[in-house]
Amino acid sequence: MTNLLYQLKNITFNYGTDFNLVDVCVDIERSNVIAIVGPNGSGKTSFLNILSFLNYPQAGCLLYNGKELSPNYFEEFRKTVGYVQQSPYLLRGTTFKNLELGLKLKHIDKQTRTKKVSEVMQLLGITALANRNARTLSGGEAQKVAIGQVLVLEPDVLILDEPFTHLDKDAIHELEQIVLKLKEEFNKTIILTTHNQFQAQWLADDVYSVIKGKVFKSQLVNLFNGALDFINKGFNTGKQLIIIPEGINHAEHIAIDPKQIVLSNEKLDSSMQNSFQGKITGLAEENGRVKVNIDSDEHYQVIVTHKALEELKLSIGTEVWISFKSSSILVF
Amino acid sequence: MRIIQKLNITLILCFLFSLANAETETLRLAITTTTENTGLMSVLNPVFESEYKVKINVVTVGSGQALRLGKQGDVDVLLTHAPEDEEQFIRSGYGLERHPVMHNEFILVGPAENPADVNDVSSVFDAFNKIYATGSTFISRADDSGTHKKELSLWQENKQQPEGDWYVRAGMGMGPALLLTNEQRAYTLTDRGTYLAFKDNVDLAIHSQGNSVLHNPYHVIAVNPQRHSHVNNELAEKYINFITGNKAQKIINDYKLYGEQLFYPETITDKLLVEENTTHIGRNFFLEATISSFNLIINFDRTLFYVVWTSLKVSLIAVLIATLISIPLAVVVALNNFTGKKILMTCLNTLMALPTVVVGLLLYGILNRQGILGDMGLLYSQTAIIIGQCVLIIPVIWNLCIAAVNSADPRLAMTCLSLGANYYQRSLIYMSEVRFALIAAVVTGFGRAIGEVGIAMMLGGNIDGYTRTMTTAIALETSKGDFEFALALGFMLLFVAFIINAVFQQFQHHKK
Repeated sequence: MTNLLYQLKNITFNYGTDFNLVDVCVDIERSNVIAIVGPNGSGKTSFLNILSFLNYPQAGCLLYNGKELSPNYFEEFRKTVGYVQQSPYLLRGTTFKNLELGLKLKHIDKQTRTKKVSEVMQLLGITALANRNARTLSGGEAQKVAIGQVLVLEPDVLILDEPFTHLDKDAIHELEQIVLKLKEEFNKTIILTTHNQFQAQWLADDVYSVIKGKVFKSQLVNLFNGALDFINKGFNTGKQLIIIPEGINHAEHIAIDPKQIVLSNEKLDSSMQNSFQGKITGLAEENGRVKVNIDSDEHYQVIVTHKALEELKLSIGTEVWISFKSSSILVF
Repeated sequence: MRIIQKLNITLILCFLFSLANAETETLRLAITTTTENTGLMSVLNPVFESEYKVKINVVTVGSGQALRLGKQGDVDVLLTHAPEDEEQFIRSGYGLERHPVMHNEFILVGPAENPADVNDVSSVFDAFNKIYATGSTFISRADDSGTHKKELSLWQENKQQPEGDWYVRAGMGMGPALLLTNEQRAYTLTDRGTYLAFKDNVDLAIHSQGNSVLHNPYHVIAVNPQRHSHVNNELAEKYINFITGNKAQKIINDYKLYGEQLFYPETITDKLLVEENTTHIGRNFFLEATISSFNLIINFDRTLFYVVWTSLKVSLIAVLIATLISIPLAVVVALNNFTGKKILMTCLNTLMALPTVVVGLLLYGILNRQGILGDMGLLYSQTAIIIGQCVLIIPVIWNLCIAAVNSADPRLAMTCLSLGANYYQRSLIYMSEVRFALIAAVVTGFGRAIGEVGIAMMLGGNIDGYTRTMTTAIALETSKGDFEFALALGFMLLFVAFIINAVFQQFQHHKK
C-alpha cells in the first residue's frame, strides 16, 4: 500500500468570486505534519475544506487512501477527518459535555463516552478543565477542547485552520507539542494553516504555499506583497521598488527564487535591473548549501554554494550587494 | 420515527383542544345588552341551570345581532326586544313561536339643564320634535339593537331624518351609550333597567316616560330546529317553559335595583311607579374604585379568579400549540435556503402586525354555522379563542424564533458538520444553543395572546363562566359601569405579565 494519503490532480473549486482554487496538484503523505501558508484570501480555507471533504471539488480527481472521491464516498471520507475551525465555537455547558457531544451524536453509550473523553483529556492535558463552563475558557484552552472534540471521534486526519492565531507564546508552544505528539505517537496526519513561516518550516514535514488559488509545494521565499507602480515601471512593496518584466498589467505579489539572486561585495555593473545594498543577518547550512539572510529595506533569503561563501568572505554583519534579473521574479 | 413524532404532536393537539371544551349539556342563549346590564340574567339563569343540571352560555349582543345569530344557528334560543324584527324572523321560518316574557319601558333621558326644554311636553314625539328643532345633541345606539330600532321608529313616526353634528351614532351597548350621553350632556333613549343600573354613575334626568309608545316588550324565541338540526331545541323549549313559568315570572317581578322594579312579568299589569332620584357622582371615584378592586383581589373573589383562570388556561394552551408548531417551522426556515424564503419572511413580518379583530373576523367567517367549519359548532367556545390566538401568535413566535436561530454563532454550523451531526441533531443543537432567545419568543407570544381582546370577544362571545377572559371582562365591566371589577382584572393582568417576565429573567440570569 502506498504511503500517500491524499492525491489531488487538477482540483478546481470556485467559492463565489474569491477563494478560488485552480488546478491544484498535490500529494500528501500519511503521518506527516503539513503546514499551509499564504496570505489572507488566497484560498487556504478553500484548500482545507476540500481536504476535509466539507466542499466537493468542481473539477479534477482526488484519491484518498487510494480510493477515488465520488459523491457516494464524500460523507464516508469526511467522517475520517477531524476539522477544527479557526477560533472554534464551543457549545453551552461544561468542557466534558462539549467533548462527549460527537460521541453522543453517534449514540455511543455513557461508559464508553466517559472512557474516551478521559483519554483525550489526558492526552491534551485538559483533565482539570472537565467541569469548567466552556464559555469561560482561555483561547488556548478552548483550542485544545475543540481539538479534543474531534479527537474523541478518532479521525485519521486532523485539520486545523489557523490554530495558533490569537494564542500567547506558551499556548503556542504547548499546542505545537501536542501536534508533534499526535503525529509521532498516534500516527495522525495533521494539516494546519499558519501565518508564521518559520513555525511552518520547523513544525511541518511539508510546507505548501497557497497564492491566489494556486498551491505550490515548498515555501515561497522572498515573497513580497505590494502593487504595480506605473510611473516608475516597477513593483512597489512599500519599502523597495523592484523592477519586474515589462508588459505586466496586474500584480499583487512577487516572489524571487533565492537561487537566482547574486551576491557581491561591490555593486555589479551588469544587465541585472535590480540591485540593492544590504547587511547579512544570518547564515545557515541547508542540504549542502548555504542559506544567507540579508537585511536590505526588505528581508531577502539567498542560497549560495560553500565556494561562493568562502570567495566573498561572508559573515554576519558583512555589507553586500544583492542583484537579480527581472526575469527571475514570479509575479502573480 | 418521524411519523410517530408527528402523530404524537397531533394527539397532543387533539387532547389540548378537548380539554378546552366543557362536557355538560349546554344551552346557547342570546340576550340583549339591556338585559345583561341590569344583572337580571345572572339571577334567573343559575336557577334554570341547577334545576335542569345544564349550563347556559350567554352571548350578549344587540337585538339585531341576536336575531342574526339565530338565523345562522349559532344559538338555540333568543331573548330579544325588537317586536317587528322578531315577527319577521318567525315569518321567515328561522324561529318557532314567540313567547312574551316581560316588559319594561323606554325612557328619554337627558341633562338636567335640559337645553331642548322637553320637560313639559306631553308625548315622546313632541320631545323628539324639540330635540330635532333645537339641534340638541342626541346619542343614538346605532348598533341595530332593540333600543336603536325603537329610536329609529320614533324619528320615522315624526317624519324626521336625524342628520348633522348633533346626532351622534355611537355603535355601543346601552351602558356605554349612557356614559357617553352623560359625558356629552346629550339626550338618549334608554330602557329603564339600564338607566337604573347606571343611575349612580351618570348625572341624567328622565324627560319623557309612561307613554304607551315606549312600551318595551321582551320575547323569547326558540330557533327552528328544522332550519338548523344541530340546535338543542329540547333544552330551548325547557328554557322557554321555565322563563314564562310562575317561578321565573316571580323572580322577574321581585328583581329590584336601588329599590326599583326593572321588569314587569307579562302576567302582572301594575301601573309603573317611578321615583325620581338623581344622585351625583363622587369625585374621588377612581381612588375608591382602586381600593375596592384591591379588596376583590385580596379576598380572592371567586368570579374574578375564575376569569383570570380562564384567561390563563386559554392563552397557555394557545401558546403551547403555537410553540409546538412554530419552533420546528422556524428551525426549518432558518437553517435552509429555499426559493420563496424572502417572500415568506416578508409575509411573516406583515402577519406579526396582524390586528386581532382581523383574525377574529376571518375566523368568525369560518367558524360560524354558515362557515366552512360551522358544523363543528366551535363559535363562542374556548376552543375558538384558542384557535384564534394560535393564528395570532404563530407568526409572532415563528418569526422571533427564526431570528433567534439566525442569531446563533455562524461557526456553529461548521461545528455541527465536523462533529458529524445529522439534520435532526443539528436542529436540536441549534435549539439548545439559542434556547433563551426561543423562550423569549414564546413569552412574547404569550403576552400578545393574554393581552388581546378582539379575538376573545368575537370568537368567545364573552360568555360568563365559560369564555369570559380578563380582557373581555374588562371591556364589558367598564361598559356596565362596574369599574372596580374591571380595575381588579387590570391589576391581575399586569400581575400575570410581571410574574412571567420575572420568572423568565431569573431563569435567564441563573443559567447564563
